[in-house]
Amino acid sequence: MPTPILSVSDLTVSFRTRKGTAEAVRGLSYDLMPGETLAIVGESGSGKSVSALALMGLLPTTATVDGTATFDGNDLFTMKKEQRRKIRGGPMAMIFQDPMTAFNPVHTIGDQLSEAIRIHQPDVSKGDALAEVEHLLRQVGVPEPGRRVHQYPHEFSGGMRQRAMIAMAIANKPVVLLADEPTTALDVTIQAQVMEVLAEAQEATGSAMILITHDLGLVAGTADRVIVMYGGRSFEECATRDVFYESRNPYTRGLLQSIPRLTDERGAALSPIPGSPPSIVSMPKGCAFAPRCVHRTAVCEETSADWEQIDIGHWTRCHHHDELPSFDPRDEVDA
Amino acid sequence: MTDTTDSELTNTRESADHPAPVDEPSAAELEVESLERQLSEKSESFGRQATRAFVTNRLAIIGAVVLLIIILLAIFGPMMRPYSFEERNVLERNQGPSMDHWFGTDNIGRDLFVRTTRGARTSLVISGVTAIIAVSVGVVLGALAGYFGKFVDGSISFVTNLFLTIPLYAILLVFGKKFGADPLALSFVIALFIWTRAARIVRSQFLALSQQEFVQAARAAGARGGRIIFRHILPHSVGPIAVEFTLTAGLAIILESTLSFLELGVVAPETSLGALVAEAKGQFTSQPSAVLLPGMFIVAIILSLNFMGDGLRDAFDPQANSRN
Repeated sequence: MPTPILSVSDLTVSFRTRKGTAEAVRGLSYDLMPGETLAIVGESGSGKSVSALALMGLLPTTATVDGTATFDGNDLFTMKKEQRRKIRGGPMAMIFQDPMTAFNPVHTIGDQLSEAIRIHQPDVSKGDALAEVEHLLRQVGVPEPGRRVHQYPHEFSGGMRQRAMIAMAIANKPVVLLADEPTTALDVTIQAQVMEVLAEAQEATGSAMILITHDLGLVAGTADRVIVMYGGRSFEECATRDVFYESRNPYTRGLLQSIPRLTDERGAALSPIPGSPPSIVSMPKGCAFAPRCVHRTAVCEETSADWEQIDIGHWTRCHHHDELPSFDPRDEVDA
Repeated sequence: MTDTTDSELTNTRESADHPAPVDEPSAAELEVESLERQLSEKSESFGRQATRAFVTNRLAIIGAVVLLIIILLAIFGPMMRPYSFEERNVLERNQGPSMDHWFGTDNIGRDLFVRTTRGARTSLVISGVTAIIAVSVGVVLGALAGYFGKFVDGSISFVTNLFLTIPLYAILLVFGKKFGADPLALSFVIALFIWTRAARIVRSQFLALSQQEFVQAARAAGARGGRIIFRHILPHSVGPIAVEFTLTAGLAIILESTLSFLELGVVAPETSLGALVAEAKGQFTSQPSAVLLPGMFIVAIILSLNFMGDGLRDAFDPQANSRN
């Protein structure tokens, strides 16, 4: 068994607000193996982005982070600021959701990418860095990189900008890539291309990737493993192929059923999960999903279920995971 | 390609009831021009875009030209006439404007054109030095407060508010009596009490800009605080800072003139625009030009600075520029 490159244990992130303390992430644990792709899936407010920002140390000062995140043998949360800064953008790089706003409009793309290189490799000359940027842009499929490096972000289309963002993230050969909704801000037609570029970039650098998304379709094509989050907790973790047919969690099933499919009858209604996610300032006492769950019983409203391993590499958080009927998301809504 | 565009444009013009004058670019032409600019090989830098926006702003250009003329007068004016600013000629006192004395003479016979341009020089130097000091201090403190927040912001904001509670004129009257005679010392004193405006503006800019995603992205790339402040946030604040610079310079002129008028600033034989108004106030009915001419200089300088400030604010708005 290889050692994980990143091991997150009992990660808890809380924010001090006027209404009291809000826990955005509650006891999240996972291991990331070198080179693998782990998808973290959830609705908005499930804590998936916050958990990634916590790893990067980019949360606002109102946030409190507990737990440990062992990266390459060191705990990210207790190490010195300077050591942590060196990790950011170096061995651990992040791709942001909106390429429109993640580049600084007053500097050229070439300036910003070569800056990212020179922050971590100060002895590289400006000229060499720019040449490397051209190489990187070509690698991510930006046409005419020699001309494009001198352009400003607003002269790039959304897809090209996200490609440049990926180039920036892999500039220093990261070991872990954090991609926070990398295609959400893009046109559907561009999404597949960008995911392909991302997969190629990952392959070229051999890095592991945490892919944060709300799109299970994206997960199917790219991830090795999936963690489904809800209300700040992990609800299910399993291999990607299992999540679609072997899910042992009512929330995961609900998510799958709410996806429209090409095989759906024309005009057939989708089956969304009724209700809406809980507010993190007023979490239900028991299972966070209980108010919306068709399988809930008295115990669900009293206590949150434990994180249980039910198969090799398959974890779930549900009091009734062994009582759930067999499941195929193509079936009509059961229960 | 340009041929087809031209003929197309001509066609639209002919079909219109009132053909547009030939020298005025039509909307379509402007659009083509902007498209061509976008498609041109060379990307326009932010500074270049801002310059272009500034020079097309008529009021801003008028302000800049007027200010430039006044600056040139302040530098070369005293040399244009064969008089020194302190040379008295009792036989020619209290004269109105003439060919010999363009602005007339004062009550001890000194040439007022030479004295006014000399006074403008003093006033401009004081206002420029004051603005440089006040805005620099304000930018540094405001940037630190806005970027680092927490304890740093708390302490800096406390000091800023403390300075804002001081009654400006009362304290300047006290300090003016002690330091007013030396223009440089006077600049420092004025700057000491008006840096707070720049600090507050820059702080709020940095507070807002620190939340922008490109700042977070820079942090995610491993950039240190200094790099983020100076390379990523400060360029976005250049507009408000430039505006604040012009307004602070204007305010400094007003404060200096006020102090000098109250005889707490620049002292004779050295002079400033405010001191000139003060010296001539007794003869306002007999010789109004002696009051009005330096007064007009003050008004012209402040108006020019404000027009330029407005132009700079529009020119340096990165959001507005990146849209085209």
